[in-house]
This record gives sequence, C-alpha cells and structure tokens, in this order.
Amino acid sequence: MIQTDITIIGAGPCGLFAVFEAGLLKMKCHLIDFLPQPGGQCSEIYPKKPIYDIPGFPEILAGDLVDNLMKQIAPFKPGFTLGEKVTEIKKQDDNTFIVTTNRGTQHRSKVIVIAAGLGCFEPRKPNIENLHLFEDLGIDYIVKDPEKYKNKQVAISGGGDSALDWAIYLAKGVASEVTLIHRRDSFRGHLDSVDQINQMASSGKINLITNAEVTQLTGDTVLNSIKIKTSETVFSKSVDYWIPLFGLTPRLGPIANWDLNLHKNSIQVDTFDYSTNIEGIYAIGDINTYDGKLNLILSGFHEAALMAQSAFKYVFPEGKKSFKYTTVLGGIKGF
Amino acid sequence: MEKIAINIIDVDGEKYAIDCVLDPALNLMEVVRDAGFPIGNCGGIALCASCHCYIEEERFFNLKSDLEEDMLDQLHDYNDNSRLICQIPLSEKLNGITITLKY
Ligand SMILES: Cc1cc2nc3c(=O)[nH]c(=O)nc-3n(C[C@H](O)[C@H](O)[C@H](O)COP(=O)(O)OP(=O)(O)OC[C@H]3O[C@@H](n4cnc5c(N)ncnc54)[C@H](O)[C@@H]3O)c2cc1C
Ligand code: FES
Repeated sequence: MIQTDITIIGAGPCGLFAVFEAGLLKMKCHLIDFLPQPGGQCSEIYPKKPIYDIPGFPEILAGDLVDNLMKQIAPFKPGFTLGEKVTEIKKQDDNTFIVTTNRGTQHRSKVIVIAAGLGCFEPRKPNIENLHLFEDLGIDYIVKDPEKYKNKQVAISGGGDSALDWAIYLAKGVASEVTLIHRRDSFRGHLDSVDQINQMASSGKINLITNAEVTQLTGDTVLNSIKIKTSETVFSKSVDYWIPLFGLTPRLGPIANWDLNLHKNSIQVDTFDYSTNIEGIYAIGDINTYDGKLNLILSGFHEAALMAQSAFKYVFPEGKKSFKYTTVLGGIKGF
Repeated sequence: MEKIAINIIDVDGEKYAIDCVLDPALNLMEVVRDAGFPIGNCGGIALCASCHCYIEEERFFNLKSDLEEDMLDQLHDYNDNSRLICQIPLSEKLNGITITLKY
C-alpha cells in the first residue's frame, strides 16, 4: 500500500501544482492518472499549442508548461501511479482514505485532492461485440510498457500519430511482427512518420493493411486472432496483442459514485478552501464548480494554494504553520 | 436577429429540437453545447472530437479543413457523413438541420 499525506487524483496542470503548494507546507503527495504521462489536457490534447494567459509567460507551449511544472515540483519528490484509473475511494475508521485503482493499486492518505479535469481520459473503443472479454488479455488501449511486446505478434489500429509512432517503435526490434491497420488508404500523421511507415512497409518490416478494419476477435482466455475486413476481402490474423489507438476522450466515470455533491458533471466546492461535501476531500481545477467558475489553468493554480492551506490543518491538526513567501524561504527545500 | 431550428439526436437516440439566434460569430458546436449537451472540450479548435456528429444532408457542408480531416481520421466511427460541428459556422443554410451526436 502506498502511504502519503495527500493522494491527488489527476496529474493535469492543477494536480501537479498542488504538489508544490502542499510541499511548501511539508505535505507529501502521490498522483494517480489514467494517462501514461503527466499533464492532463495539456499533454494529451494540445501539447504543441501555445498558451497566452499563464501569468509571467507571454507565450508558452502547453507541453513546456507541463515540463516546467514537473521541474518545479521535483524537490518535493511526488509519487506517481500512471496508466491506472481510480475506481474507488473508501473512508476508514481512523478517518484516512484508501484510494484504489482498476489494477488494484491502493493508496492511503489523510487527504484526497480530486484534480480530475474534464474526467478520466478513456480510450475511444471500436464497436466490437466481445471487446471487453479481451481487455488487458491481449487488447491494450495505451502503451504503458513497450517491453511487454518483445518478440510478440502485435497489430495496431489507427491513423493518427500515436498509431504511426508506436508501429515504428515496435517494428524496430521489439515485436516479432507488427501489423498496422487503418480505415483509409492514406495517413494524416507527421510527414516524417508517414514516410517511415511506407518505407518499413515496402521493406517488409511492417505489414500495412489499409482500407481495413478489425471486425471480430477470437481467443479462449486471451486474444489469439483478429478478423480483418478490407474493401476486398475478410481474413483472420493471429496476434498476441491488438492495440486500437483511436485517441482518448475524457469521461466523468467513477467520480459519479463517490457520494460527492455534483452539478452537471462537476463537483460542488466551498470557495473558502475548495473542500467538497466530504471532509478531507478537496476538488480543484476543471472538475469543480462554484459561482463564477472559469475553467482556466490560472484558476486551478489559485485553488491549489488555498486547498493546501486548509489541508495542512487536516493533515497536521497540532501543527503550526506561518505563511511565508518563497523568496523569504530563500529557495525551495524539498524532502 | 433571425432564429434557426436545429434537430439533435443524442447518443442514446433521443431527439431534441432547439431554436437558436443566428449569430454568425458562433459555430454549431457552441449552440449545441449552450443547449446543455456535454461537447466542446477543446473549445472548438478541432482537437478533441467531442463534437463529432453525423449529418446526412450534404447541402449543409462547408469544406472540411485539413485540421478537421486530421482529427476525424483518428476516429474509428468516421464515415462520409462525419463532421466536427465546431468547424461549421452558423448560417441560415443550417435551418432545419439534423445532427446525430457521436460523443
Ligand atoms: C485545446 C485546449 C486549449 C486550452 N487553452 C487554454 C488556455 O489558453 N488557457 C487556460 O488557462 N486553459 C486552457 N485550456 C484549459 C486547460 O487545459 C484546463 O483548464 C486544464 O487542463 C485543467 O487542468 P486540470 O489539472 O484541472 O485537469 P486536466 O488537465 O483535465 O487533467 C485531469 C487529469 O485527471 C485524470 N483523471 C480524471 N479522473 C481520473 C480517474 N478516475 N483516475 C485516474 N485519472 C483520472 C485525467 O485522465 C486527466 O489526465 C485549454 C484546453 C484545451 C483542451
Ligand atoms: S470542440 Fe473539440 S473538436 Fe470540436
């Protein structure tokens, strides 16, 4: 069991900055996110877009903002559980919480901060009847650990950059066979990647199947083969893994079952400290709502600062804190 | 300002009809979102596909930009009727349109 002072659900910009504000008050944080990388919307939807309303940065790429936040919180050594979705929160008799993920990883803390943005990024799933039977048993929607595909037969579906990039990566000596399946006959990813895919297809390093889609899955307990339908024919292909990469989209998901007061998919909070209706649970960033709420990174950062002040009293009821500027502290003293 | 009628079929197949003011500064995603449908995650820049819809009638189509094609191309349920409705500005041509939400 992972033990920490504050478990943060969601490693978007607001969850990340909460580590800093908590760290200044000597509280340790652990972040959980379904995405395999930190950054939330900034890294998943628009890493290469410039943002113009972060104070002090006339212009900054969303991806660079995330890199900077990671640097800024590094002294406070946050823990990360990535590629896992929080499914359950349970309050214990001693008033601590246990937060459990879909993979059974458990985290115990006195405080929970929900920084879940627009919801949990979840894969867009193709419409195949028995898909759920093989999830995690041959079907992966995100690539978390590429070594898992070592010497395996892997099929990837999708036409975006992530499908192209992973096909190229796995075909370079990781998987024993890579098949890339796309619904159309051309790719719209980065030109470099498209060129590379075409070259690898001509030299036989990648089986490229276009104008095609996967329509059926078979296997006993784990996936053994996929049926591929092209504009001309239908055939089966044996695989160890099928990775459908049709992008991720945020969904509120399990948060709706945690007895929190919700208003239209957002968590209602008290603007005094961004606490929810459950003592010890706070909600900051895009996931919360209150009169006048703006879904801006700036607002989430402010909310993180006030949340941390209030959480301190909860984590260290006897503790005394005095508010100090970071300039007065003369630098950041981490853990 | 004039009003136009929009018919919406949501992901559960429920039908809705809305009237909206024909403000050319707005796009179709914005009026559907303002009517309470949970779309428009990226604010309307063809980056999230939360506004992906099927639209049967071709006469409503303005041309798809490369950006829109790039995003649609990543979806498994993209077909010839697919549009990202944040890329369709409001115009009187849209009066009576029926859109089927995919998100
Ligand atoms: C295209 C675009 C442009 C934007 N431009 C600007 C701008 O110019 N200025 C600005 O201020 N804002 C902008 N925004 C908004 C800004 O990105 C958001 O306000 C910000 O990302 C919110 O941060 P967050 O940390 O609250 O949530 P998010 O960034 O949404 O991160 C939340 C994270 O929580 C995870 N999560 C949720 N539930 C679970 C669960 N149950 N288990 C595990 N993980 C979970 C999600 O997977 C996600 O990674 C823009 C957004 C978009 C999409
Ligand atoms: S609102 Fe994001 S693609 Fe249209």
